Amino acid sequence: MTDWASVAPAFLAPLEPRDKASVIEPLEKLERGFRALQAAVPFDQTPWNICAEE
Amino acid sequence: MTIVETGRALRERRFSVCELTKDTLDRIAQANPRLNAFITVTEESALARARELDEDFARGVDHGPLHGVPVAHKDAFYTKGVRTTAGTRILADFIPDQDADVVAKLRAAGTVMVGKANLHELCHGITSDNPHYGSVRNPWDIERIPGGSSGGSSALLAADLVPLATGTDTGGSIRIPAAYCGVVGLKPTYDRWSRRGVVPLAFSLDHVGPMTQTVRDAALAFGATAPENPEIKGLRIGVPENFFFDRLDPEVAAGVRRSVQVVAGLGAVASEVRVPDPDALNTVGRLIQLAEASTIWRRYRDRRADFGADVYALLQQGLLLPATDYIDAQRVRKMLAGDFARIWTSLDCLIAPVTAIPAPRIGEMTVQVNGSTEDVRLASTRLTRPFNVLGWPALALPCGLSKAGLPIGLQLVAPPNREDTLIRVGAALEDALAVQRHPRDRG
Repeated sequence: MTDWASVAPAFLAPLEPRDKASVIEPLEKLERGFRALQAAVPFDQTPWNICAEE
Repeated sequence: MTIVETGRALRERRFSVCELTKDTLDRIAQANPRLNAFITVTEESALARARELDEDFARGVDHGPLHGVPVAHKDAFYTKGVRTTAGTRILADFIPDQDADVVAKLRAAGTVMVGKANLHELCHGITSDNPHYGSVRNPWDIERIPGGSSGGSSALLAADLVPLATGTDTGGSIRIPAAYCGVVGLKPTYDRWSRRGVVPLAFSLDHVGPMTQTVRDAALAFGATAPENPEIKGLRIGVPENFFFDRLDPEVAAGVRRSVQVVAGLGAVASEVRVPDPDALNTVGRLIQLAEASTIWRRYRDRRADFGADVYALLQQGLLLPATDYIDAQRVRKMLAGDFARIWTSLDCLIAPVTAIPAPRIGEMTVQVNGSTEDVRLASTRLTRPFNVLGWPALALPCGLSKAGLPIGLQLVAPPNREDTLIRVGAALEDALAVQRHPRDRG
């Protein structure tokens, strides 16, 4: 699992200690659901086409 | 008054467009202080437009079913010369120099814009509890949220202040407020209505559509024909046996189940169907929305005080997501879309609840759903977001009232570009259910 607070400076995300409950915890929860899906994607799977617009 | 009723009355010369517009503006002036559903009311330009439309009528020019119909545009739609805030302080002084495509299209069809509807800040939430422009109130109970993000639009329709409003739907923002306010909201197929000139939230998930008081009105606003006697005999309607009915307020479950019996009674073939994993769609949909929204708004990341706390937290979350996670979420999305598309080989339409609960109270962060505690945002979006990820059209309409007198909504979902099926089934259900459309005290 990612240590979101420690990577924040690299992402230019202005995090403060008060953001743990509103930023870090929701991301950790989202990540728990996402990693298994990510691992199941075939290496040659293409992304959903967002270039179809306008 | 609905679009259909307005059109009939105008053509019978029971009132003029000017008289209708003045009456609408008077009622807005009376009700809006209580509901806070408008950010801007465009009285002067509305009356000028109404005069033009009366002149057109007098010389035999009829713009069609929307001629003279008052419309409120969600304040995320660019309106030429009229402030467009997207509900955020960041855009408090933004005055577009052009109309959104949808605004221009509806104007050309004869509508009269009476104002810009309040919303959840940046469309990035579902309460419409706006820290900059005030909380929108639900006309059925002003201590409750109208849903969001198109909450001003739904409140105005429920209070019968306008027959037509516009909305955007990235994770449920048309359908959720439609359900909480007992009105109709159509999220068309992705890309079916232009997003040009609409303040974006998440490019690949944003949908634009009409909100109305009835299904037939939604058909007219969408540019379709309103069915007189909708026939649904033999139509194959799927009722998800997994996920969509798993954790619901019992009154919501009962309302939607009753509607399934109604469509079966009308001759449709209703059957239970197992759908692939909607929870996975929710996971990738949330990740994609966070990343895309933060891409758009990152330029303002140093202006924390100018955002609501909830929205700023979401923007911070999005900033932290690596590009590889975002791309993988889009790859999972495509993989899941292939799995889901297979359900249409044996079905014409799906029926499901819109939200797990009726409208929560303003300020409530969690709710009890069947004995367990759940975040209000998740209880509101977990049944709608999957269809943003898939891009499928969905129609929300009321199917009853709870014992507390709050609307309960259902959604019909169809394959891409089959809005006609939604309108047909929706109109049949609307006729059969005859749900009360407005609270007795309309605010």
